[in-house]
Amino acid sequence: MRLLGVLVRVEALKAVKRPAFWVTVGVFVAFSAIANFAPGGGSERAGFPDAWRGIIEPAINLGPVFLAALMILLFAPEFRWRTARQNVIDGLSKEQFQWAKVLLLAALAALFFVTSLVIGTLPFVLDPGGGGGAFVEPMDLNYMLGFVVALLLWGTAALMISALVRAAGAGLGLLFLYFICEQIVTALLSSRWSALERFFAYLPGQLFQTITNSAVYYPEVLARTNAARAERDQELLVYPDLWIPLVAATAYVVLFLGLAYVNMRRRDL
Amino acid sequence: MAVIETAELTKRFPAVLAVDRVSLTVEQGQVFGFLGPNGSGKTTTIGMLMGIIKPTAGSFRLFGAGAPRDLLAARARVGATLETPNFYPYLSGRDNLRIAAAIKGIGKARIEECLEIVGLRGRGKHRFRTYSLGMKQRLALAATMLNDPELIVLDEPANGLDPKGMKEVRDIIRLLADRGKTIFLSSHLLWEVERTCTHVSIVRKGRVVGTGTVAEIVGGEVTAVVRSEDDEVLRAALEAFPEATSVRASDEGLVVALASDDLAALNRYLAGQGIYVSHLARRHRSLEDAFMDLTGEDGDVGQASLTEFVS
Ligand SMILES: Nc1ncnc2c1ncn2[C@@H]1O[C@H](COP(=O)(O)OP(=O)(O)O)[C@@H](O)[C@H]1O
Ligand SMILES: [Mg+2]
Repeated sequence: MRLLGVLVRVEALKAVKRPAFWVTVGVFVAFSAIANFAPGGGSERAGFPDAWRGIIEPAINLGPVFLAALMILLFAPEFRWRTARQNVIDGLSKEQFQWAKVLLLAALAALFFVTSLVIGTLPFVLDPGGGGGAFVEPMDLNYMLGFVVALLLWGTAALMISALVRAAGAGLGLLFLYFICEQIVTALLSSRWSALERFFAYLPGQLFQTITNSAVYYPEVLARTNAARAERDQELLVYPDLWIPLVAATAYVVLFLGLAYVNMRRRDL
Repeated sequence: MAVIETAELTKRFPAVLAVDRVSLTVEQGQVFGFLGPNGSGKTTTIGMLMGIIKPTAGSFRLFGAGAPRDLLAARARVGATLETPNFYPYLSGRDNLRIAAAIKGIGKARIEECLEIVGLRGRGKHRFRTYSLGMKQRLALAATMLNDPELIVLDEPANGLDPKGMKEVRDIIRLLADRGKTIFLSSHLLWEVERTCTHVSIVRKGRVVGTGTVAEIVGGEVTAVVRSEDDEVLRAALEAFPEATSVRASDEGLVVALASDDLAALNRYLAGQGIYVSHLARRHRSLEDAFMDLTGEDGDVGQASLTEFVS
């Protein structure tokens, strides 16, 4: 218990005094505000519960990427500065140091989640519209759950890459390069061999796109999209049960954390 | 009780055997110098003691503790720095100490005390990035003192300091030693060890080649400086002299270590070989002589004599 308090205090001090922390969070808040407050953009001004989809949609696409970037900025330089070493010399075990970063990730994910929802609901607090029925529907809760999983998917990927690469610049480069390459390679290959598509759907980048897609959560969005596609004679979209991509993404979260842990145990600081 | 005890401690990196079966014992109250040229494995050895580098083979104990869990507890009685001062560049000196203090479970008042001891109280609020190297080293010393440790481990504490900075560091080390702390200090500077330490281990290419009190390492043998017209011939003759344990060149002439104190015998021997010396003088044996002999920087004659003057 004392240990938990120490880890939280230490990581909080490291983060809040770091200019990069405030810059990243600030830019994210600015983007969220634009998405939610700009005319036409963001929430359908229908009031709750219909507003949730419009609130989560920009956040679920932006939040995880910002979280990953911030995670790498806060974690990876500890190796170049040799402060990871010093933390261990000062009394943490290597495993405890790693746990501190998992705690940091959890705190940052919570920060991004709460900030997104607060900014998203602000327009309604300022200007309560109509709406009716329940405040929140099960679909919205699912979408929020998807948001949390998406945050953790990118966040743990960033944590693992920081631990493996040990340099912020290279880590950021690798993360985004992987994401882009995965998009290109899967697009190229599945246009040739459509059988591969089923397999590709379980790559982390593709999973991310599935679990952030509002059509997966809201039948009316899927219906609208498919109606438009039908008019253009395109193939209709079909999505697997929601829980399948969510569980698969969660499996990656566990895998990334496990790899980071094993790496930390085996390698010298 | 031994504060540090290593047994056949070994670390092999892919390309290099950095630490090769090192066995050391540091007793309580010693100011122990770990002396060796750059790249001889000092930092790697300390890294293993501090739990950031995994030994390839061998074992060690801190305060008698050897199991991982016990070692973590034993490290709470240690204050250490490794290589350069390792701090967050964007944090102030004081905030950096706050992080170390939080990990060690130390309160605010002690942070100020330690800043005071190293003379950084006035600069505590400035970012670490803006510190001079001397200030960085002193902040590192302050960090090691936070938990009032029984054992202080310093890796090349004088590195990059000017003479004034070195003296300040030396004074702080002496202050800690006077308070009964055990100090383990690595250095590639002979005179730093000679001036600061009570005990010394000399390490070369990962191997410990000599261990003892500074007096033991320095004393125990007589050294003479000899010059003559032909150094080649002189050297060959000296190496053949039964009483000589090592021979090496220096600015003053050939330095020969002798098993006995009889310089006249040496003179007679040389004359018998047809060599007439232009200079023959007894010399106080400095740690540098011992270091040269032990690390074999000038031929490996010294290796043979090692057992004699360590035992
Ligand atoms: N992380 C590492 N990977 C590979 N080789 C290393 C590593 N750290 C040190 N070495 C090598 O191990 C040897 C000992 O290094 P070190 O312990 O730093 O020596 P010292 O501190 O005595 O100068 C050197 O040859 C060095 O290049
Ligand atoms: Mg070193």
